[in-house]
Amino acid sequence: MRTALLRTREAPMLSPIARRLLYTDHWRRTRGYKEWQHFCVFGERVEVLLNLSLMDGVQAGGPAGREVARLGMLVRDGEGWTGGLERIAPGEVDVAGGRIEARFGRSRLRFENGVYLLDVVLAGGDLRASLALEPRVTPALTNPLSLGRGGGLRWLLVPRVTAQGSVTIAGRKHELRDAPGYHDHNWGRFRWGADFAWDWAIALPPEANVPWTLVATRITDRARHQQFTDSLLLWKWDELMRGFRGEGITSRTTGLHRPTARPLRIPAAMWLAAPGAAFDVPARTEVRGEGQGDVVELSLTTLDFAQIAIPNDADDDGTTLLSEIRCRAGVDGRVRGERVRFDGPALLELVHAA
Amino acid sequence: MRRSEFGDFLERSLAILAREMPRSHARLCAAMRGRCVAFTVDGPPVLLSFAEGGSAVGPVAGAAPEIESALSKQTIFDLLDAEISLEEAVLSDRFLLRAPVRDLEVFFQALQLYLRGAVRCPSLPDLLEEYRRGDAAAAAAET
Repeated sequence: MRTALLRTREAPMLSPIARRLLYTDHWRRTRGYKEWQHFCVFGERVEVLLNLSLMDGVQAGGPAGREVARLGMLVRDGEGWTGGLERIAPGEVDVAGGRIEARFGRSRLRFENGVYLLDVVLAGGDLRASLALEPRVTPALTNPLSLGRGGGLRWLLVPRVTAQGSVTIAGRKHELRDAPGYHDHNWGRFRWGADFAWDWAIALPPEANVPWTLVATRITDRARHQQFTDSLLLWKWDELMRGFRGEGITSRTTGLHRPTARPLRIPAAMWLAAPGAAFDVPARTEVRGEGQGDVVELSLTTLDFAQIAIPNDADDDGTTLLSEIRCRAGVDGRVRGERVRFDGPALLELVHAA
Repeated sequence: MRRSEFGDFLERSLAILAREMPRSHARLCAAMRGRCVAFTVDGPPVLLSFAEGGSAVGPVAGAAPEIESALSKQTIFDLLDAEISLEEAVLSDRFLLRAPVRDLEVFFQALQLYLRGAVRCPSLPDLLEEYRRGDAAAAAAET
């Protein structure tokens, strides 16, 4: 009731995009859910990924239903990748279901006047981000996406935001002004390591006056033989202009990206549980959507990557690796007679269990 | 008698594994049943032995372990912080191992079972932080 009253008071003052977010992007905190808020910013000199997650423990034999809060941050600047994944003590977490607001230890997420405000401190203060992210497109909320037997995930995406603020890495401060960015919010019941894999990419133009935003998603079984979801979504300015799905999409990867040194993985200790020097990261990824006279082609060239490692909760031995791959994107096509073309930064995320 | 800081950590981590990941603990004990490992970590060696009922940590005291290992606490944390890989630690003699080949093979399988179980234990990060800070040494010295 309190949430509804607050929404009623706040909503008339907000833009249509912000009003819609207020009603859709709030924390669910339903028992048994895995839920996270994810933000990416593509600055000229720094790229940052932030993730605030609440995961109910589903590991058999562990404390039943124990919710674990984690704050993850990956940052890439001229010195390379750095990052951290911190478990936040239960007493240090304050997340109200029904609101876009969270305190994870010393870090905070708020949603004020239609803008996401993030103040994040990690790694004993060596990593800091203070960001204001203004949504630029109407959010999209998917139907439940299948993640293997019995598992499902809802996905709310705000694929284009404009970021202001700063990121500090061990004393190196990077200012961000009108940098393009992305936000999404996921929640659902599933087990890491179950019979699924997902590939997801966001491509954004660096210039604010280029209207296009492109998101590609493919969810398959773990062996990547059977496709559950395949989509290529194109926004023009703030509206979803064209969605290609299923058979209208073809994708392929070529080559393997071979890092010269062991890439960053958070948490670092997961190298002991999942060692190895072979990485399932392609050198190049191409996705093509075609139908009803429209065509859009996305090509992603891998630059480098970092990984988030999560122990499978579907088994006692395996690990799910989330490879966060920094790419250069090229987009070309024609939709409703209009040329679609831009180059820009992109993030490709591959979620594969081993 | 002053207990070894590493011995205290090892014993408590195995207790956490047994409580929070009992399947992993049972598989570890089954894999190593009948074997003993001596660990020397910045102090007197401690013996980890596996029998029918589980595992026990204690002083070596005349035992003849099948597997002998030696590494520093610094190497343990360099491994955990990914400053060095397990292969690099072994090949550079920062993690010394001496055992018949068959026992070494079993030891590495058991180590993987322990590590993969440990990363799933909610309580282990706190114990690791305690060990990193040296709090475990103070606690061990008092016993």
